[in-house]
Amino acid sequence: MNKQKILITIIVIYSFLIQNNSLNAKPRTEINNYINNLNLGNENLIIIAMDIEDCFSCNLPKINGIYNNLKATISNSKTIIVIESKIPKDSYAMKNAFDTDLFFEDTLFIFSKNNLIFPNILIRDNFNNFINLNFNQLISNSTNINKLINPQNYEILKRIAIKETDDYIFTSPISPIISNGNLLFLAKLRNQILNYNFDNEEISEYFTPKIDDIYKYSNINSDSLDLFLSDGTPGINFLFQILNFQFENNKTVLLIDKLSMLNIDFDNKEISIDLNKGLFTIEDNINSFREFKSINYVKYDDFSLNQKNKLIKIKYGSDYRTKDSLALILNIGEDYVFDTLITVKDLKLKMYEYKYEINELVDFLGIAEGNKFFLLSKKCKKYTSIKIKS
Amino acid sequence: MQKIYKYQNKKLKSYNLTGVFNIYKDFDIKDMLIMDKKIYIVGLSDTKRILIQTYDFSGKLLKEEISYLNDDILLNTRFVKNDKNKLILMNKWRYKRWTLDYLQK
Repeated sequence: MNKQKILITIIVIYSFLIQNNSLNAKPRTEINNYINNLNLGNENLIIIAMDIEDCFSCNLPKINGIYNNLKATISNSKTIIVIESKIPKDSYAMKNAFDTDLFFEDTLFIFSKNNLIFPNILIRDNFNNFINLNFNQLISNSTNINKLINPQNYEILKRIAIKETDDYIFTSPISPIISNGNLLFLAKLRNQILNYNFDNEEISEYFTPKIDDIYKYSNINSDSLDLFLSDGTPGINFLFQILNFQFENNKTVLLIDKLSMLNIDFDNKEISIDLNKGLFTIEDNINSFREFKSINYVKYDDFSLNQKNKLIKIKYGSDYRTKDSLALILNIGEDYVFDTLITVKDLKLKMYEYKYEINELVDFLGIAEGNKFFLLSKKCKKYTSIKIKS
Repeated sequence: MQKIYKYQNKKLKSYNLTGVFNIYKDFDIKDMLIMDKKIYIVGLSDTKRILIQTYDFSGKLLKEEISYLNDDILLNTRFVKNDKNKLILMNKWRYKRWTLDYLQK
């Protein structure tokens, strides 16, 4: 009992500190700090938080069942109940319904202030990581908990370290592929496809856009381009930008933004540029470029070709008409015309739940045999609702 | 919320990610790969846990493994396509920098 009093005193002091810093605190951090400041050692902690007034699914036998199940699953664990209540000592009667190691009453509403749904189940493992579990799913499924709480160490069959050099520092490689003993990947900021050779452990350039290619596949006046390039900005990368690439059987296909029209009036300091999008193909040292015929107002940044020569692209549109666009299917065999547009509506999501940040909604894609494509939706930012307590 | 969508014959079908996603939503999905008629997904949580799941084309979970990254901080990861059908990740680590890690399928 004395231990409990000491812990409650710590909570009160810490809660005062939280109150004074709550405007700047990040939601999860505030709760993590709250738990860590209970100073309960390095044991696994199973924390169930409830609100005595607003807990709509506070089925106590179910909560107790989950509690016992978690405690049996997670070794060396300590169980804690946190009950939010406006009135001090109001929740002590509820405490007796649980067979728990520790009980705290929280009159400052740390959990509900952070928009967590009750009953909230939080695990702090002995590495000090916090895991927020879904209560309703937990009722029917507890087989995955052990994997989550006690994961195996990362095991690899083989590791190859890729050594960067001062000449070839890269950030996020795109579409890495190993073929014929080489690793190819797009270094987007460098606007180059780089090649890592496993034998000599060196990085070199596999493909860099050339000015000759811009001349060849553009309708622009060469004098204008020379003048533009001599001015030094925005530079060759902007004139021929690689957005993504695929490599197969010595055939390289690049999705590019290409300079197609340029009007320069230096006296009035006006420059107008048209960028056209298309596929630039390199095969047997022969280059070719096919321009997309429609929907040029959509931003492209990814693509994938399947065996039936369709292309799919994932990204949002650039204006209000197309901002919910996610993917385009291009019929390459029929004049490079897009014949299908997949939008957010096609995903049948409850859009009212989410912020309108489409680029976070669906991101990368895979490709399968035949005429199938696979897309993967990422985690979205939910609108958060703020509880107003009477 | 996280789903796999299959586009075929101008129709879009969706499958919910299952397994650990049923109880825990905080794996940040980093990449997807199609290989051996299977769908591989890799996700990270707080740079400490890496999740690799395998689904078939009907959306059924075939395998999932969660590993603990105990000796470095993994900043990003991507699958590496390859002609040998091996499961390879190109990883960016805080201290080790870039590695190609060959994993058990």
